[in-house]
Amino acid sequence: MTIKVSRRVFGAGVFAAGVVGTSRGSFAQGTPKRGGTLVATWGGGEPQACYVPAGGGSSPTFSSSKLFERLARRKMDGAFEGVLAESWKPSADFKTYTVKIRKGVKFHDGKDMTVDDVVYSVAEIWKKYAVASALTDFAGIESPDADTVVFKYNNPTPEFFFASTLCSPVAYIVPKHVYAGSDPVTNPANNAPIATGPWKFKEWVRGSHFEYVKNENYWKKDEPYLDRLIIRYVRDPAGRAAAMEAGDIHIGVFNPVAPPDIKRLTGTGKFVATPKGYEEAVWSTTLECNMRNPVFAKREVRQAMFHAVNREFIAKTVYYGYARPGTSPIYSPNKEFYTADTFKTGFDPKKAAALLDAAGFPKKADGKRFTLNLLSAGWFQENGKVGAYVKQALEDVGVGINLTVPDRPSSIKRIYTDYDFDLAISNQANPSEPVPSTTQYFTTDGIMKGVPFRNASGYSNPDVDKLVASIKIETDPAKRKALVVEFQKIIAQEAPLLPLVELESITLASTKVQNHSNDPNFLAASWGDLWLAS
Amino acid sequence: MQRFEFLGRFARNRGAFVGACLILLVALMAAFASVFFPTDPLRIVGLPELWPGEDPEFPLGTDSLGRDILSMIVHGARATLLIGLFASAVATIIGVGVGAIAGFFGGWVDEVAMRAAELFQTIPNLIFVLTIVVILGSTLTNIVIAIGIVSWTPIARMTRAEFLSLRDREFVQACRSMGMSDFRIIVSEILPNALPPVIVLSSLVVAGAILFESAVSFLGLGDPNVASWGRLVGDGRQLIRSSWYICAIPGIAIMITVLCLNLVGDGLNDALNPKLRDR
Repeated sequence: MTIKVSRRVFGAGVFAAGVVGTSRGSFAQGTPKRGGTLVATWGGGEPQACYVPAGGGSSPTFSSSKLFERLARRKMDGAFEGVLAESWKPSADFKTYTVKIRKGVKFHDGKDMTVDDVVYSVAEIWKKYAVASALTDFAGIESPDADTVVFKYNNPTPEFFFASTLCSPVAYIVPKHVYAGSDPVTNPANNAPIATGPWKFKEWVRGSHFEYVKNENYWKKDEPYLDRLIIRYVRDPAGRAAAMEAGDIHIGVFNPVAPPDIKRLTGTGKFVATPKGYEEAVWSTTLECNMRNPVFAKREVRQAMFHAVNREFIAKTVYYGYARPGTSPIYSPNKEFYTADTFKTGFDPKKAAALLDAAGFPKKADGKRFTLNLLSAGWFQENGKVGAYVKQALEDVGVGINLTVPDRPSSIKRIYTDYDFDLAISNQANPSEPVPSTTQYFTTDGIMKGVPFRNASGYSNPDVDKLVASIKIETDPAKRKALVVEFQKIIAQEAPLLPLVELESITLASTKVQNHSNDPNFLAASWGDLWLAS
Repeated sequence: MQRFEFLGRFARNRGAFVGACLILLVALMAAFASVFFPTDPLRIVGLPELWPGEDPEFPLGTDSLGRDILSMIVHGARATLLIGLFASAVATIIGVGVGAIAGFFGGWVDEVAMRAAELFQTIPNLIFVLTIVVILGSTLTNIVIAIGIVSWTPIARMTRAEFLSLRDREFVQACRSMGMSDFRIIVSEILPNALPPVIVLSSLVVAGAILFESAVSFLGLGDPNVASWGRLVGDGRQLIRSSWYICAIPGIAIMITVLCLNLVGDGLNDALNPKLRDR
């Protein structure tokens, strides 16, 4: 996966928690019932357009993923499954991939989907907008016959990396006859898309909702089960809670309501809450040290910043238990690459103080070793609270802190353009494939002034750069994992940026809704298999 | 003797008297905050979301992080009053300055000054404050400056009106004929006579400033290093269905203080306005 992916529109208020519903396994019982209208919402605002070719954050990903389809998807068990592709196979040198395209797929306007559409989508949309940073080694795409396309790369490309690219949210197959010859970014079809998915666009009432209707000619015979899908936007969490309670909205993804309301609504027995369905977009709250400040030259000083902070407290109090302490730049739900066996910067204020003493920063007469500017990105309310706690924790070990919590645009500018901070609290969302979305926070080529959510700490280590370059082209899965483990070990010890906590996102659904939360990025799933019990 | 007369007239307005007493109490609370609560009010000291009375150590309970609400209210009184007073001082200085010059000199100076004031009046105040704070950065000083900048116009207009009516009176003409400089006439002759209504207005600006600061903090743009009442309300907003006291306690504090300041303003009006003197 990778990429512009689900850097969703910041603005959704609340992370978090309360009591999660009881159901384990899938939320499905019995045979699917046909018909009915499902009303859905999410924990953020209305998108800028129904479909944004470059991704545009989670909001347009949510609205477009019901209409458009990708070549492949990941299943809950981690296996890859073809969607518009039937299969893919690497060549012996892993420089080309041959992909078989599904036959008999029609666009919503009745035209057949062909390899020409695939070639156009990959060359013109993926490479230029949707997944550009995952296609830096991409050399071109060809179609030798009517049901095959061949992806060519300049370097060996690992299979997991390739499959993850096919599964990227917004790596859609778009109709060439609609997009060719136009600027895809401003094509009016972006606001009334023609695609191949289970849902057909009907209308967008701005400020209120999208209405999608059943695609009668969908290639999966039985789907969709529902007749209509409405995506409604409600500005604030309390309003969403009220609408769900009144039965006007059946399902809300990505933290639709405030934590105490989750508890209240699940307590009625009419709703379930689950952290499942976010395994391919795991959010975290991170702390990073600005290497441009000479106090951070020694890694012991950076480690001390983390030793001073009680991550358990943050998880329990700020996130109401819907978070776990983070240890590695790769997050624990990542079955392919995560390792728990890294250098630990656990809560140990005495050790933090000792490290700072040893690094040549004893407490001065005013009780402070040095004073730092701590910037907590104001796009989530929780970040302000984390900032308030981190300030106190660091002051306890003798580090003076000036805390600022700027709004979203100022935070992005100060962290990623001006580098105007000593310590910053920010957030990331990472898929399983670490290159480039995780690694670009640590590599030298990730230092891109003005580009948000890249290497803002200024950390530059030739060893890490070399390691990431080999992760990129290592095609043996076992060797590749060993390299990623090595990467995690170096970063966890070097501590330029580490997660304080990994966040659990919550889906809240009426008990009537069946088959939900069955995709590792459920927000970006097609929802053709959802149905409503009576 | 005159002073007692003033106090007597002020106290004749019962509301003003009660208001002044309560404000005095808040001011004392602010002044001695560090004596009662020597530690940083933003320190996490207990379990989160303890209700008032649940733990005798925290009579007003704790907020969502486990900070003592009583300590934050007492320390917050200091920040809130300081912001109110200084913002009012900034507004008064700008307002009186501009108003005095416009009213005294008239002509194109007056035109320019009043058009400028109208320009400020046409921008919605709260949005203007937020814009300034976002641009300058959310520190206490910047918030004070921002509130001062949006609040000076009524004071300027009031001062101008007073100056217009005073500048051609006989005593001013007498000063002129004696060869007094314009500056001296403005400062030592007209201003003392123009001041009473301005003082009343300034006291109301204090109340307005407290509300502005609360709104700014409520929206998360306050200075995060300072405990203020508005911030406490903003922090508690998310928990309003379950732990409503987190919003309610500082909300009541803001309401009482602003109400009292308005009552004091009324009292000052009664005491200073000669026309109402014998009402």
